[in-house]
Amino acid sequence: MSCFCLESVPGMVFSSFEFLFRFLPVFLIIYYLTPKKYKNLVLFLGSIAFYTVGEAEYVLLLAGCVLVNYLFARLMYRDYMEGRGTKQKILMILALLYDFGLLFFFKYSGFAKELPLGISFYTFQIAAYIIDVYRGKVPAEKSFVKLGTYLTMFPQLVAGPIINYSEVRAALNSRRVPIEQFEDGLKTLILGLGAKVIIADRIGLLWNHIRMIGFSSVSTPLAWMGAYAYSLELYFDFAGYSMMARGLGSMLGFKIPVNFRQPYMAKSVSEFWRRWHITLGRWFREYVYIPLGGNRKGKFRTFFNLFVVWTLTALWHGSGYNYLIWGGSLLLFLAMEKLFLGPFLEKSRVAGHLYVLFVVPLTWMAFAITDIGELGIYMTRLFPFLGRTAIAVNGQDFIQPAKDYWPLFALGILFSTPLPTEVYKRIRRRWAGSIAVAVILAFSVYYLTVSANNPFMYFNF
Amino acid sequence: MKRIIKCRVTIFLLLGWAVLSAIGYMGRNNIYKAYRKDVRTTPYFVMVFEGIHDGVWPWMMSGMPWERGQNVAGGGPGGGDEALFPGTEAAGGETEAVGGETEGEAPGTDDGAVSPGADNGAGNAQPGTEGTGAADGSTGVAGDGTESPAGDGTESPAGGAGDTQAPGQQTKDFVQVDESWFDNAVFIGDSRTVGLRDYGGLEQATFYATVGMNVYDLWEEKFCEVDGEKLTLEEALTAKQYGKVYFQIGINEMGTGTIDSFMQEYTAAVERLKELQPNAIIYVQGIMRVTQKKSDADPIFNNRGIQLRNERIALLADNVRVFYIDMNEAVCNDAGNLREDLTFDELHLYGSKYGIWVDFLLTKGVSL
Repeated sequence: MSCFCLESVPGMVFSSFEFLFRFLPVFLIIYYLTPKKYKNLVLFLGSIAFYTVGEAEYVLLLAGCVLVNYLFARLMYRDYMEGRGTKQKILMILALLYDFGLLFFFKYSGFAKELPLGISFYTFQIAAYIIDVYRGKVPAEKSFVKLGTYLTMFPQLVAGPIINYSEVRAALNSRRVPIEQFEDGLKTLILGLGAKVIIADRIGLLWNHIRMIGFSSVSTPLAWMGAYAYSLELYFDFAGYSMMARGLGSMLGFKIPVNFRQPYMAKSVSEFWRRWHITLGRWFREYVYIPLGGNRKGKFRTFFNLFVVWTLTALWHGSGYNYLIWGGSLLLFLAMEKLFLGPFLEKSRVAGHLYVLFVVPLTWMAFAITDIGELGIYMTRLFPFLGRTAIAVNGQDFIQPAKDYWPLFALGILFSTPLPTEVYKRIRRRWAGSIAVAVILAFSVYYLTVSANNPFMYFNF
Repeated sequence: MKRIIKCRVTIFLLLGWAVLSAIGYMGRNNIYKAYRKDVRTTPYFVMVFEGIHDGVWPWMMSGMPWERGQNVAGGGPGGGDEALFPGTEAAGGETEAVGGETEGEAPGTDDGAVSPGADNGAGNAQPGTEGTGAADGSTGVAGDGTESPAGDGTESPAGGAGDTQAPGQQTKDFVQVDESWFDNAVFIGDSRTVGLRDYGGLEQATFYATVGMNVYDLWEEKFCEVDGEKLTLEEALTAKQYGKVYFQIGINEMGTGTIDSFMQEYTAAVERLKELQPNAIIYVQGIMRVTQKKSDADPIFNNRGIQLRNERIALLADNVRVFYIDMNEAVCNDAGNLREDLTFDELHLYGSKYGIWVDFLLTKGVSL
C-alpha cells in the first residue's frame, strides 16, 4: 500500500522512542549548533540518515530523484519573461516520465513487495516542482543542497504533507527558530502524537479484533462499530502524523501546510475531501483537474475530469482492485452531489452531516478491505438484507467491545469536532494550555510504552 | 531568560525526561530489572512507565539509602520476582528438581521412588494449604508423569501403565461423544477459550475465560462471571460442581519466567482444580500453536516454545482423572504449524473455525 495508513509504514516512525528520544534530540542539537550557512546541508544529511534507518536499500533512489530533477530543472529553466519553448516542454516531460515511471514501476511491476518508503509522496512533490518551474511559477533551485533539503526533509518525507516548493523557498534561504516557535512546534508535535497514540492506535484494536474474528462471523452491530472505529483510527492516525510533521517543521524553521480540517464535520463528500488530506487534493486540483479544464468546459467535461482525478487518486492510494471500487464509489457520490444533491446538503442543518457520517465510513471499508470477496462479505454483514454469508455469528459479540471501546469512541468523536481546537486556542498561552499538553505527553508516553512493551497490543491473546 | 521560562512544555519535557530517566537508571538493577531494554533505542524512563503499568511505583524501590534497614529483610534482588510470581517461593527448590528429572527423559527407576501410587489423583486427600500443598502435589504429579511416554500420551493412554497405577484406578480410553457431553463441562482459559465460548456454539457449557489470562493470575483475578457477579476462579468452582474441566492456558506467560516456573504454577493449578472439582475429570489441553510466519518471526511466541510446554503439560496426564488432549492435531498442517487459512492474526482461529475445535473435543470423550 503506498498511502500512509496504519501499520504499513516501516522504518523509524515518529511515534517511536527511537525517533522521539534518540534521533530527534541528537539531530536538533546538531542542527541548532550548526552555523546558518550549513543548516540546509545538516538537514539534508540528517534526512538521508533518517531514511536510511527506515529503508537503506532505496536511499539511492531518493538521492537519484533529487539529482535527476535538479538537473532537469536547471536545464529547463528560462526566465519566464522569455516564454517557454519546445525544449522546456520536452525536458519537463522527460523529468515527469522519470518520476512517474519509477513510481509506476514499483507499484505495478511486482518488483518489490513493498513500495520504496515515501515514494508516493516525494514523487508528487518533485513533480509539482518540475511543473512549477516549467510554468515559470518558481525559478529553478540553483543549489543542489537546497532542493535536496526541500524534497527529503524528514518531517514530511515518509507521509507528507505534500509541500510546494514555493511554500518553503524563502525558509530554505533563511530561517530562524525563536524559542517561542520551538515551544509551539513541540506542542503541535505532542498533540499529533497524542492523536495517534492515545486514540488511533487504541481504537484500531477494535478493527483488528474484527479481522481476527473474521468478517463472516461478525454481527451487524459489531460490523458498524468496526466501520466507525476504522474511520476514527484512519483519521487520528493520519491527521496525527500530519500534525507531528507540522510541529517538527516549526522546530526546524519551516511552515508546513495544514493537511486536515475536521473532515468529519463536512456536509458533503466533496467538502469532506476538501478537508481530508488537503495537500493531496490540492495537488490533483492544481496539476490535473484545472489543467484538464476543471469545471469550466461544461458538465460532461467536468465529470470526465472528475473521473480522471479520482481514478488517479485511487491508483495513488494502492494498486489493489479494491481501491478502484473505493475511488469509484466516491466518484459516484461526488457526481450525485454535482448533479442534484449538493445544494440540498449545503442548506441542510442535519441531513448533510448524517449523509457524510453514513457514506464516508462505508467508502473507508472499500479502502480497508483489500480482498474483494471479503469486502463483499463485510457489506452483507453491514446490510444483512444484501445476502446471507454469516457463519457462527455470536449476536452478543458487540456488547464487550462496546464496554471496552466507548471511551475511545467518545474521545474520537469529541476530537473530530472543532470544539477542542477552539478551547485550546483560548487557553494555549495560559497555564491550563501547557498543563493540558503536558498531560497528553505523559499519556502518550505511557501508551507508547505499553504498546512497545507488549508486542501483542494488536493481538492480545 | 524570561522568554525561556515561558516555554513551559519544553521545560516540563526536559525535566520529566531527566527525573524519570534518573529513576529508571537507579532502578535498572532493582525494581525495573525485568524491563531492561536496549538503551540505544529505548530511553531509561520507559522502564518507569512500564513499572507503573504493572503497578510497580518508583517509591517501591528497595535498597535505597533511606530504607537500608528494611532491605535485608526484604530479600534484596529477589524482591522483584516475588512481586511477579506470588506464592511460588516455597516451592522453588522442589521445582528445580522436578525440572531436572523430566528433562532427563524419566528413567523408569525414578517412578517408584518419587511417586508412590497413593499420591496419584489424590489431590483431595491433601490438606491443600496454599503454596505448600500445591508444591507437594507438583512433585507427585511430575514423578507420575514419567509413566506416560512423553510425546505420545495423546491418543492411546498407555496400556501398560495400569501396572504402575494404584489398584482400582483403571486408565480410560477416548471415545466419540455428542454435544450433550459438554452440558456439565467448564472451560477455563485465555482468549482462545474466549473464542470457543463466543463462537463454538456450546450453549450448555460454562466458560471461565478472559483475554490475557495466564497461570500466574489464574487464582488472583476476579474473571469468572457467575449470575452477573465477578468471582475468582476458586469461588466460582466452589459454588458449582462439574463433570469435566477443560483447561487451556500458557501462551500469555511465554515471555515470563522459565518453563519450569511455568510448569510449577501449572501443575499447582491442576492440583487445585482437582481439589475444587473432586468428581470431575480434568482435560489439560495443549496450547494451540501459531502459524509458521508468526513462529519464524517471534523469538518468544513460537511453536518450539509451545511444543516444549505442551510436552511438559502432557506429562501431567494420568489418563484416570487427568487427560492430555492436543487440538493442534486438528488445526495444524503437516509441518505442525497453525494453518494460515484458519486465522487472521496468526494466533487465534476465525470465529467460523471454532467448530473444528469442538469437533475435535467430541472425539475426546471418556467412557465414565
